[in-house]
Amino acid sequence: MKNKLRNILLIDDSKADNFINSRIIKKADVTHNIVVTYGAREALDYLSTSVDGSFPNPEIIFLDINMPDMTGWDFLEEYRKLNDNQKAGVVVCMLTTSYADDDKEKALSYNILSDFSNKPLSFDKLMGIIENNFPKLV
Amino acid sequence: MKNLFSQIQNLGIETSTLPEEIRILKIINRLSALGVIVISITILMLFLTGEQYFSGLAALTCYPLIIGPLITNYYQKFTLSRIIFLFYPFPTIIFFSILFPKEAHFQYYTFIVIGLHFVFIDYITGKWRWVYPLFGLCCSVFLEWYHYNYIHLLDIARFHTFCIHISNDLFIIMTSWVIYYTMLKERDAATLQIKQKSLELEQKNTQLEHFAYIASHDLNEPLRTIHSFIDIIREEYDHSINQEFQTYLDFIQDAAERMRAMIDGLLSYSRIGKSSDFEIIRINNLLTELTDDLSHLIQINKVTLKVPELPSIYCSRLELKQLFQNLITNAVKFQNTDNFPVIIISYEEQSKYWKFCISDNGIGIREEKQQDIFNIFTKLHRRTEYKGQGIGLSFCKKIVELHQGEIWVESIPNEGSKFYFTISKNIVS
Repeated sequence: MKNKLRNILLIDDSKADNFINSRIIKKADVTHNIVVTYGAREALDYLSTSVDGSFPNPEIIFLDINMPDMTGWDFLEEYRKLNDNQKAGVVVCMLTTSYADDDKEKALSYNILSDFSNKPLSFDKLMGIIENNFPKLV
Repeated sequence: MKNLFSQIQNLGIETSTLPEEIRILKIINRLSALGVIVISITILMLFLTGEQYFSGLAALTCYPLIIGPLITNYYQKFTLSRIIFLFYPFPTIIFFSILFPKEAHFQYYTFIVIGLHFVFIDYITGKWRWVYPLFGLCCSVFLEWYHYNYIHLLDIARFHTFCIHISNDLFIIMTSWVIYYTMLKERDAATLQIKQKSLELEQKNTQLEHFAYIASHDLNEPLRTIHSFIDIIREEYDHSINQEFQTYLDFIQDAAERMRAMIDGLLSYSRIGKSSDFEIIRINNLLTELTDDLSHLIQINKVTLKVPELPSIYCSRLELKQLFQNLITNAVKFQNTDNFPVIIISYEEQSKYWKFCISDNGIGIREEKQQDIFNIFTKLHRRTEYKGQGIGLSFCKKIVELHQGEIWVESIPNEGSKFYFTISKNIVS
């Protein structure tokens, strides 16, 4: 892949899931940088902290819904309040199969999410997401 | 006033009193209080109109009957109070009836006496329960006979006879009212209790269903991780995996796979009936659709499926289809290898249910296991013999219960099984 994304942010409380997701993203070689966070607060801090005057602005956020303390929904609620220059390009909601249908409806009501994917992330799913949202890259 | 009334009707009731006792005590107290009021008015009336002699007599005989139980209840002498209530009336009624003219209506008290015993000591007397009412009835017949053949012993003014007659009738009517009132109260209390219990049960049930749903959902997550890492190991250590390692990995994967199937089963089980729409379904259409879905299975196993003309019934389409599907696929699955499955579907219309039967010529089920098979995760065979998680029939059971029916099996090992299920004709949701 010639043109890579700059930055992808992962939000998942599970170490294993983050490991699996970042492994797949690394293997697919679609981005220069992967940032792993283990909770919604950490992710929000990351998004709203500027380094050298600019915010990280990841192109894609993979967001787990089922997390302790702040859930994915809570994250979206807070994310909405961020300034536009702090937001990401695309937020992908990671759903677990069993809840998928109920959650999809809820997720759509936020008007932020650009995509869904069922857990676990696979190479094909990742490429699908990139194709949908960054057609110029492929 | 209200306070006084409640104090009187609760005379003798303590916190340790049994509910059955409370009920009897209350009714005795109520009746006695009523008696005191009515008889006091009568006596007062007689006294004021110049019949001091009779009023004294009436007071002497009646007050022990009506005040006695109140006092004995107050002192917790319940048996005594009941004896007074049950045996004092006979001589009193007979005495007054033959003393006064028939028009005074004393003889009608026997009807109260006939019923009283059922309220007070029915649970003690057992098979002798008819003796007392019979005695009351004899008493009543005797008085009728007496009034027909003999004249009353005392002559009193027509006006006084009228007064006594009114107060007697009033007492008899009020007594039946008190008993009705008591029963009504009891019924209301019982209905309320049933309502509360069923509400509680409903809540528990919902909780349980929710629990199964959440549990199976949450169990899925770590399992998914196990699967992912098995894949990662296979991918990254492909070259260094020896035969033994491969076997171990296979075992892990196999176990995880089975667990996933069970969790999925549990999840679907908890979802049965969650979003079912009930409508009139032509069962034949449903089965045609089903045989199309299962055409591959039917062809490779050379299945003979006999479906007669079946009724249209009110049911949940998806769930009934699953019910038939599970029973038919079971009939195909549990077969000896050298046998061709013959499945016959039949039905019978009963007054309150549709009864369906799905019979097969499969391996059958031993009698002692015929109940267990409807429990979730119950398997009668090793996995290597017949595949599956042991969830199919538990689904069937839950679906049938959703249709307010029953499911059972009749089977002879090595000859075949007949699965019966009923669907209620009047499904109340």
